[in-house]
Order: sequence, then structure tokens, then C-alpha cells
Amino acid sequence: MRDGTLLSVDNVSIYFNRNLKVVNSISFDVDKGEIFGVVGESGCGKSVTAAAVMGILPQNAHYEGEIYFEGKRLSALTAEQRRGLRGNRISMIFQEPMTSLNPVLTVGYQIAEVLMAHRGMSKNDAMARAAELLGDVKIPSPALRVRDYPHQMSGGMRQRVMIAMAIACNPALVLADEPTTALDVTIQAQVLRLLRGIQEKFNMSVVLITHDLGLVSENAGRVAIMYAGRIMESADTATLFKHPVHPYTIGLLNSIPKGRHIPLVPIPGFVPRPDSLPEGCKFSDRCGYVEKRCKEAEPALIEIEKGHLNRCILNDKVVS
Amino acid sequence: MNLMEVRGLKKYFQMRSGLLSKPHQVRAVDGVDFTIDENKVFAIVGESGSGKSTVARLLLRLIEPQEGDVLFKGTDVLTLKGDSLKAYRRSVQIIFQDPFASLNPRMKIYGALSEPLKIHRTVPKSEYRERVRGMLQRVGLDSDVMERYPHEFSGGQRQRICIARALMLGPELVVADEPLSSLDVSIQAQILNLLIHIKEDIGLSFLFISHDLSVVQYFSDKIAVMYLGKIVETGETEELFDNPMHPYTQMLIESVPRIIGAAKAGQTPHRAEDPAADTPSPSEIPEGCPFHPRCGKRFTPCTTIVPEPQQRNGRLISCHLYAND
Ligand SMILES: Nc1ncnc2c1ncn2[C@@H]1O[C@H](COP(=O)(O)OP(=O)(O)OP(=O)(O)O)[C@@H](O)[C@H]1O
Ligand SMILES: Nc1ncnc2c1ncn2[C@@H]1O[C@H](COP(=O)(O)OP(=O)(O)OP(=O)(O)O)[C@@H](O)[C@H]1O
Ligand code: SF4
Ligand SMILES: [Mg+2]
Ligand SMILES: [Mg+2]
Repeated sequence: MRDGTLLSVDNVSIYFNRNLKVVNSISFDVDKGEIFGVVGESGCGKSVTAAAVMGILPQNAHYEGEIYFEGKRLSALTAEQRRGLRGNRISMIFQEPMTSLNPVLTVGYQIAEVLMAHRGMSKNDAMARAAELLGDVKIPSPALRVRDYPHQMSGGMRQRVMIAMAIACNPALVLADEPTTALDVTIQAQVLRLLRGIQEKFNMSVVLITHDLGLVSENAGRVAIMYAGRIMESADTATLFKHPVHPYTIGLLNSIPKGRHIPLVPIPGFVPRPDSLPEGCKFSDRCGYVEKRCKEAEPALIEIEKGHLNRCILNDKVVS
Repeated sequence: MNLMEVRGLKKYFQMRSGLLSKPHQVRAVDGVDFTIDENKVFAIVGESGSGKSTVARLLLRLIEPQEGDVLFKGTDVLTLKGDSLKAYRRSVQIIFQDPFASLNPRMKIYGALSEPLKIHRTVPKSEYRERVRGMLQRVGLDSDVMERYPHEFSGGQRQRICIARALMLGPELVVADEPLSSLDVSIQAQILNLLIHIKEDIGLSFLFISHDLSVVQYFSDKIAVMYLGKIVETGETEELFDNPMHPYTQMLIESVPRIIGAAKAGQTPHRAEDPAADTPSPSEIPEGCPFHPRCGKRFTPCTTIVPEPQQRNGRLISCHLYAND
């Protein structure tokens, strides 16, 4: 592991019900203080990867491979040590705050709970700190709003509460799983500015999971493009958006309307399910560049330039 | 030629949230005017709760307005009854966001597509199969899908089926309410291209509802921007994107995350943030200009006086900045 690496996901595969593999040997590192984007269409394995890092995979799932956080191998920790990390050193922001906030507790109390659990604060101190945190996430009149229940807040406000909860213990890593997908675009912009501000101020690392390439382009320093449980391409965002090489990345970029007179070129076919993937390259059934050898063996993820990884036989040939 | 004309349309819902709370009013659609031209795509954009779907449901006569007029090719839609209402419903079809919910899970695709023909009896029964086959082909599906059930298809395929069903009766206007938002990015482009081909092929008009501005910019000819039940700006798509005039339209367009060129990527500077100004609830619409609590350009009249729509450079704008003197 390099210096400055905070999280290292090393050859991780994730299975449901013992043998349905939904994530296949993925590896990536997240550095201290960086925003790392993970992009992919639905079902490609973004959320389960985050769940594995967070230690909240459902009962019927398990992972193989290793995850290192601050140099520690997570699989070697006791259940108690893992609980000590969750919500404290590593925290998570979910897409739909309504399902992750408790409807019968005030938002202030839910933030305070985190502080009482991990910081051993008294209830009074924790409530006072909760109000400060609501102020930090720019909720107007925080001293009053601590007493609100989740349903009394708008979607944007609730997502701010989730952020306040996630940063309460000043974590080193925040896993943000589609943090703004449920929000309107103007509110999304506000929430992201807020998250960026906090991330820079505390030098936090953020894994930003999204299907929105624009969002990643504007906010992440590096990005991994996932498809069918694999990383297909990964690079710093500048390189990836300027010189995409994997046919899937190029296909995604061509699927987004860019201007009125630039024709859309969709990717044909549909997003495969993990139990019915094609032989060889998992994108081969939709790829416009497919050759015979694509079907014969799955291409490896290869470093084609420093920091630029690609999983395609065409590799550095000019695909774009 | 204008196909549909909407004037002063209003829909208020009476709400009671708790047992003890007083009933209150949700001004879901609060006096909107627009016209949809023939063979054009008219888009409505706006945030969640701004009233877009309510407008769609009013135009289809699924709900009735408190006030206003809807004219379809000059005929008053709101007073139609019996056969003439039925004929109107043939001409105006809808596609919804969720293709999963809008198909009967127990009905085969053939049944779903032939049902409109049965209800409206426009063609003899002996022709059903041929019609269904032709329409499936048009939306890019093989005719062997006829004997299958909705659950056997992916989201994109189901949306194709819904589009086929909407076209069975040869409508003149298709209302598409967020037809792409439940689909993956790579599938959205397929469906959008399909809609464009169909439009060019058979000369349809669309009322296209979306909150995705890049899609709207690509597909529509004219746009209305809704905010809390009102249209704040209407204009030709290209002009509106080149030069958004209403402060809300400006905010909306600025907020869209864009893929940016190399040097700047990952380093968009971000502004220090003011305290969150959220979209107010439609049951507590602010006095004066509904946008004023979030507007960076507000001045004295904005907090008290409702701005009336003004004609400016071919736009219709409701904002005191553009008031006639
Ligand atoms: N509890 C579960 N039981 C069985 N399979 C599951 C479960 N949760 C997820 N999966 C499967 O694992 C795969 C990866 O799912 P995941 O939720 O990580 O996708 P995602 O990339 O987050 O997609 P989305 O963009 O839709 O959130 C999917 O095929 C999904 O069907
Ligand atoms: N049947 C109803 N009874 C009460 N209120 C309603 C009803 N239908 C809609 N509303 C309210 O009217 C307002 C406008 O709703 P509408 O569904 O038209 O918004 P929208 O612009 O389509 O939003 P979205 O983008 O979320 O689909 C909302 O506040 C909504 O809660
Ligand atoms: S390996 Fe072949 S099929 Fe896969 S993306 Fe590359 S060219 Fe396409
Ligand atoms: Mg997910
Ligand atoms: Mg709607």
C-alpha cells in the first residue's frame, strides 16, 4: 500500500446466497483527502461494494478478498472493533434519507446518539453539539430544528441531516451512495457544495457513488467505471473524460445529450443481470468493437498509462 | 398551427394532514397558460412538486380543474362528454415514468396492445394482430414478444411496450411524464432516439415532462419552466438555454452537473454556501413572487407583489426584473 492511502479494496468479490457473484475481484485505493467517484448503471455492484467497506452487507452476502482501512485488515477486526469504526471513522450517506432516519425520533436526537455512542458525550452535550452540526450543514435556525422529526423536513433538509450525522465524529472516510439522486437539481447543487466544503475543511476522503457522469466530473479527482460487477476503466477524472478508452465508458458518454445538434449514440441491448453475463468480456454482447477473442477470455484490467486502467483487448489502440 | 391551448388553468387540492389540523389548500397548478404547436415538442421542466404531473392529468381529463380553459384544435376539452370525449382520448395519449406500474402483470403483451383497439373499435378484430405486430416493429421489438408477460422484459423494453400502446390509436398528442427517469443512462438514450424517430415518422406532438435539463434541451422545441404551480418562463428551447432570463431558470441551468474538459475536472471551485433556502411546500407558497426566498436578485416589490407574465423578446417571463415600466 502506498503512503497516503486511506482505504484499499484489494481483489474483493461479493456473493449472495453463497455462490451468486455480484462483484468480481475489484480493487481500488482511496487516498487521504480525495473524492473518489464510482460510476455505473443499476445493479453493477456499487452499493454492495460500499456495504462491504462499511461492514453492513446483508446476512445472505459475504465477501472474499481484503479491505484495508488505515492500514488495518477489516476482516481481522472483532465485531466490536468494527462497530467502533462505523459511524465514527467511516460513515455513510444513503440515497433516500427517509429510510435511514428513524421517523419517531427527532433529528437532533439521532445525531446526538452517534456522539453518545462513539464519543461518550452526555445527552445534553450531545444535543448541543447536534445543533451546532445542523448549523454546519447550513440548516436555518438549527437550535429550533433539532427538535424536528424527519417528516417535518424537506428532502434536501433531510439529506443535510444525514450529512450532519455522517460528519458528527469527524470521520476519515465518508461513503456517499447516490447522496443527491433523490433531490432536485438546484438542491443537489447546494448539498454538493456543502459536502465539498466540509470535505476540504476536514481533509476527509469521500467515495462518491453515482450514475451521473457530470456529477463525478465536477467533483471527483479520480473515478472508476463499473459494469457487471467489474471495474472496466479507472483514471483521474481529467484523463477519463478527455481520453476515455473503454468502449463502455465511451458508450456512456455518447448516451448523454450534450447539445441539441450532437446526435445521441446509445449503447444497444440492456444492462445484464449477474446470473446471465456473457462469456469473455462482460460488455461483449453490447459492444460495437467486439471481436472473436473478446468472447474467448475476459480481458484483464491493465494499466495502459500511469494511473489509467482499462479492461479491454483493444487497450491503448485509439478507440475514441 | 397550435394544437392545444391552455389558459388560466388552476387546480387546488384540499388537504387535511392530521385529524385535528385545519384543512389547507395545495395550489398545485396556479394559473398556467401555454400553447402546444403541431408537430412540436413542448417541454415542462421544474422541481418535484411544481405541478407538472397535475398539468398532464388535467389535460387528459383524469382530474378536473377549478378554473381555466383547455382547447384542443379549437374545441373546448373541459366540456366534452360521451363520444366526443372518447374521440379526444384517442387523440391524446400518455406515457408514464414507471413502465413497471403501467402494464397489467397478468396480461400478455398482445392483450395490452390490442386492448385500446377493442375499447375504441377503430379497426375490425381480424386486423388486431397485424396492427400489434406493426407497432411492435416500430418500437424495435420482435413480434414474438406478443405472447409474453411484462415481467419477462427489462425496464427499457417495457417502456418500448408502453410507447407502442400509446401509439396504437394513432394519437396526435402524446403526453410523456418523465418517460426516461426510471431507466439507466444507456437505455435512456435508446428510448429518446426512439421517440425522436417516431415523431419524425408519423408527425406527432409531444408534451414532454422532465426534470432532466440536458434531455429537454436535446428533444424539445419550446420549454415552460414551472415553479410552485406557476410557469415562470416560457421560450424557444435554444434561446432559453442560451439566455435564461428568469432567475430561477438561471439557477436551474447553472445547477446541472456538466462533464467538463480536462484541466478543470474534479476542481470546480465551489462557492461558500448561504444557509439552505429550500423549495417551500406548495401548501405554503410565499407571498409576492413565489421564488423570492431563494432569489439572489430580489428587490422591494418581490416580497409582496405577484409578478404577472410579461412578453419579452419572444419569451413570457414572470419576474419584476422584467416588468414593463
Ligand atoms: N439483498 C440482496 N439479495 C440478493 N441480491 C442482491 C441484494 N442486494 C443486491 N443484490 C444484487 O447485487 C447486485 C448489485 O447490487 P447493488 O445494489 O450493489 O447495485 P448498484 O450498483 O448499487 O445499483 P443501483 O444503481 O440500482 O443502486 C444486483 O444485481 C442486485 O440485484
Ligand atoms: N391528489 C392530490 N391530492 C393532494 N395533493 C396533490 C394531489 N396530487 C398532487 N398533489 C400535490 O400537488 C403538488 C404538485 O404535484 P405534481 O405531482 O403535479 O408535481 P410534479 O411537478 O409532477 O412533481 P414530480 O417531479 O415529483 O413528479 C404537490 O405538492 C403534490 O403533493
Ligand atoms: S473487450 Fe471487446 S467487447 Fe469488451 S469492451 Fe473491449 S472491444 Fe468491446
Ligand atoms: Mg445502489
Ligand atoms: Mg410528476
